Amino acid sequence: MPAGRTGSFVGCTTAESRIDHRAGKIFLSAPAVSAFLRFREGEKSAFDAVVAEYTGPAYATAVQVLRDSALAEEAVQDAFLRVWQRAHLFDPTKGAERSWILSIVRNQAIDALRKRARARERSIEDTPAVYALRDPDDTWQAVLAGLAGGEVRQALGELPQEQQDVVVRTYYQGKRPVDVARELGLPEGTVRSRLRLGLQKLRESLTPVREALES
Amino acid sequence: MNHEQAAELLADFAIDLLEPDEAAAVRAHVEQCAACRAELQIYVQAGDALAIGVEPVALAAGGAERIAAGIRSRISAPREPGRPALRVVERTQGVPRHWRTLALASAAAVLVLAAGLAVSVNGWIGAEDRADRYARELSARALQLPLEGENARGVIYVSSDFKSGVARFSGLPPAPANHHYQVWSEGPFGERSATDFVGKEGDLFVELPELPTDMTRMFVTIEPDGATGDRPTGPEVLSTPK
Repeated sequence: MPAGRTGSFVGCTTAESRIDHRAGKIFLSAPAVSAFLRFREGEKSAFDAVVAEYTGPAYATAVQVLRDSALAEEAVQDAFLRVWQRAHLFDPTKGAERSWILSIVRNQAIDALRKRARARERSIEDTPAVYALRDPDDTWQAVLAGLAGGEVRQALGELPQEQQDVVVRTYYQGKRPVDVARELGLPEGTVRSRLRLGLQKLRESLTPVREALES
Repeated sequence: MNHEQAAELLADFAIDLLEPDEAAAVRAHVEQCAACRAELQIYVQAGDALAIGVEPVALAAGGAERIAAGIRSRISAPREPGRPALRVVERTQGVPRHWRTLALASAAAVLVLAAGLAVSVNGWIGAEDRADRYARELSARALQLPLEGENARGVIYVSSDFKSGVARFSGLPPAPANHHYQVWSEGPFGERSATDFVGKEGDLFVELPELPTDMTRMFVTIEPDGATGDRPTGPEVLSTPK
């Protein structure tokens, strides 16, 4: 764990939070069925609520990649169309809906970025290839459900600068390691190594939450 | 792809940075390799966390409404495999034939749901009376025609009477010194200027007060200041699909 981190995360403030970090106790209760899950089960009218809930984070995700508000808005619209079309492919045992939706937004934004740069266009017809290889992990889903954006940003900020830089450029700006290597004047292998280390350390920094859930 | 090669690309794969052929090769290996699959979960979970950690960004005024309207229009005209990206699907009766032809020829032409577009227009145009006017004009239905260029893009929203519209551009830098942008329509009449503007960084919205009803294409050129405006002389920077 990076120096300065105590492992204690701030308490959740949302009404639906299921983790009381302050007391170090875990209360597992049946969560309310989300609008997205209701939509996935066929309640089409719930989609407006899905859009309302995720437009803000979706736009933030897209604009971080595209750096252009108009393009970001278009990417978000295209991404939500994909969510509409492919919600039935979402498997709650393989990940949180938020991650699934925002990964579609991010992929759409990266695709728009590369299309704009006239780079080879990626296929975004399907869910990401990695999706099928996700292992079910209920505890991790609970960790994500109780995780606030500020906590992630804090953990990211505590990575060594060179790893943080690579993670930001690849994940949040959608750049390929080969492009990051060119930008930074580094060998591509070094960039990939920093990316792996950065992601590993970020994941490790969330271990206290996981351990609290598992104890 | 052998184990070492796949292991090198696991993090890229987890956060979906690989090209489809690379991703397929990594996937094929991971399906057979327990060690890689276990390591992959770490990167996937880190990616999950990063998705939550996106720095909040405030939407511009009207942004949420524009996005919601755009989503509604896309859902109302879903893409089909092998077909134009968005097709004209609703209420084509009443749309003049030449417009319908132009719309169908456009890769992303769509009949926009009127309510959504009206909301969008309200978000774009600051002057209340103009916003109201466009909202009224576009209240029945409108065509949406994409403009594609090397480094810029745009959309022309044609009003319900097919005689006027609003163009939205993004990625157009200010025109070079002593030059301006000019929007043209093209049809049996040849080329006709629709409007001109100087351009600026970011989003730009331009009124098209008069559009010919028998046009077959619209495009944007860079013209020298002082040009007569009766025919395009400069390079094309944007065009509807030819």
